[in-house]
Amino acid sequence: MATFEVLGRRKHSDPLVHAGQVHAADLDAALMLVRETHFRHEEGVEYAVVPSEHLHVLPDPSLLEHDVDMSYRQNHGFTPFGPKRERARAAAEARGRGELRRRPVPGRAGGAAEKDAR
Amino acid sequence: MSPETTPRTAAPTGRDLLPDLTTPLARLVLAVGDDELVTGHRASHWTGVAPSLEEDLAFATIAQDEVNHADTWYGLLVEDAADADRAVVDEIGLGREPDEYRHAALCAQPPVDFIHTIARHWLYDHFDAVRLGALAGSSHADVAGLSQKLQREERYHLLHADQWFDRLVGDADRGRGELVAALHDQLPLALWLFEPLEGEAELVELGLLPESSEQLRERWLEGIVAALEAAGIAADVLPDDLRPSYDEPAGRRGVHTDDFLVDVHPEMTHLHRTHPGATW
Repeated sequence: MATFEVLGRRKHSDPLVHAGQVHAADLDAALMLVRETHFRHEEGVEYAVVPSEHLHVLPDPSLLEHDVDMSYRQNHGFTPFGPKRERARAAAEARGRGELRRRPVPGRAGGAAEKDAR
Repeated sequence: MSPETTPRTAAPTGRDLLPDLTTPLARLVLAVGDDELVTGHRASHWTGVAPSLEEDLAFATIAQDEVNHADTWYGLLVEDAADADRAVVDEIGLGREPDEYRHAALCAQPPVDFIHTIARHWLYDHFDAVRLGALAGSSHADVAGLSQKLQREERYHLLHADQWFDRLVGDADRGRGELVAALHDQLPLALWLFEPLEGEAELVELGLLPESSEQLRERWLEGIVAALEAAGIAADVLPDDLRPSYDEPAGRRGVHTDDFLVDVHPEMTHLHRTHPGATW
């Protein structure tokens, strides 16, 4: 028996994502058995298996550790964006820039209408 | 309202629910449905004790599929799929006396061991594929439609059986010898899958069963003999007589072995007999 990694996609437009592992005698058996171990309840539209031994694992996981503050790489400065925008708008009005327009949000109701109006 | 003032007509229960099981359609449906029901019941034995967790899931699915297929075949004998008819389908599946079942003896074989079971399923699944292929051309629209649907489901069963067959044949240490013994043991019984159905001439004439059991057997033999020869085990496995006379009545005429009478039937119908009319 060998171990295989199982990947599947929920919809045809989705990427293959890891779904788990299966133990089987060979690739053909793994492909047959995964239908029941991981996809018996309509979990996806396609799946694949790969021998676990074919995974190349990062040999030195300490490369993932950060010794200094690298929070500047993270995007949480942009969240929560809504209250920050409201504060900026209030400050603009206080400076007499009350004409600062609400900008349409693409995809939201009213967004397209405002875009057309411009 | 008290029961005294309410005019009541007793709802039919138990055997009173059974439809006429002597019609041409019923004679066909019972042979096909009973094969599936008994095969599924025996297959469920492996739930929890198959050789690996993965195989356990695969085989449990096959067991469930077969019982579900029996259910859909019996469904052809009721008016429609209304809730009330569930009780009728259950009664057809579980409420008959042993001699009213029409499966072949192979289906009632005990599990013995996993290779023995795989050998039986290999023989049976190839038979099922041949029979469904013929029934897909039935003159009865519901029989043809259901057969086409089930053909798609049975592809997995066939894939499963063929893969095990190849794997066991390729295992010179142990698998090959045990498979040969199991096939040799069960092939004579498998030939009784093709015992003619009751009143088969009429079924063929009506086009309900587009091909006779004899024609189905010849097509089945063609496939399995070719596979056995390719595997180099035909001479070890095939009995001398591949075409029994079927003079003695057996499963297709309601005559069953103790495998069914003493083992399968009492166990399979236990819950239904103990709690008449129960739903779950």
